[in-house]
Amino acid sequence: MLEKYAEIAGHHVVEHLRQLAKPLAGLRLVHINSTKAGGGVAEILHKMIPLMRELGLDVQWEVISGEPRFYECTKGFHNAM
Amino acid sequence: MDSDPVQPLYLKDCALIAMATGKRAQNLRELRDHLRVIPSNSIYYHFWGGLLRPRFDDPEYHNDFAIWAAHSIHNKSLAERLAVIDPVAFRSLEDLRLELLDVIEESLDETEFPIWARRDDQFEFIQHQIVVFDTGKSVKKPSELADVLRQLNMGSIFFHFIDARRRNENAVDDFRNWLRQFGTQYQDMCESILAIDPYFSTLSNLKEVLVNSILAHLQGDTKPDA
Repeated sequence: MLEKYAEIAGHHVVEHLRQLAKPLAGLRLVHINSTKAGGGVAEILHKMIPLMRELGLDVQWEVISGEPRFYECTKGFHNAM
Repeated sequence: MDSDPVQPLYLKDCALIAMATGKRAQNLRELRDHLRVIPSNSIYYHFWGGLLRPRFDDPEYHNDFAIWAAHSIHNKSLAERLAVIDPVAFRSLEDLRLELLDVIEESLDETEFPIWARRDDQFEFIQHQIVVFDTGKSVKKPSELADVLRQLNMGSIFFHFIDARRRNENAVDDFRNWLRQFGTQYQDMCESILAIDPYFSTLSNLKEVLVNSILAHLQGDTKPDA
């Protein structure tokens, strides 16, 4: 997937990503959001997770679920920010 | 014993990572007040950072202060005065800060009531962290310099020709600094590189001018004993 990005963004940009990721190799990272489809975060993570894994990071994506009041609360955080 | 004292020039690439300072100005007085105390790193970013960003602004204005003055508080006269400030002409960022403050004070003296920018169009003071990358490229002889320069990205030109001036003694770019080890042999080339203004241009244009300038000297060098 990185190679496909390199064709558009330039090989040097992907090389930058590889150099930035090198000291982070083996790092475990969990992305948590509240939906696996729809919304900007899910859209980004669908691409970002495989890209980060290709760069050698141990990345997981977990989806947290809840009742409507839970989503009212997370949306409240989002809007406040 | 023969030894090769010539040090290669190892070429790097770079990016400026922008970071919010949390300081913003909605009118000229606020801009002046923040400018008095903002870290010099932020002044550097607002003067030079634009060269590394894709720009859709009016190229008439080369620094972020001038762009904001023109488009957000609609003070064209101030924008023009800010736009002609050449950061290369100042020995330090502190001297540049003083010049900025002088120009802004002068403008404040001329206006009774400062114009306010829209709330969503405030001047956001940004600071930066430079991130340096290896290109895997190096130059061992001046005759290789133009060819390698052609292959470099804009970040490399920025790092070696602009940012180098705040790292090297006497504000010298990396190319001239490296050529110094050959004594006076490349003095003309150094002088012609020195004459290139790094500010009122784009990085791609700078690269072209650098390559042409170096090539012109190299071709001159090869004529007598070719």
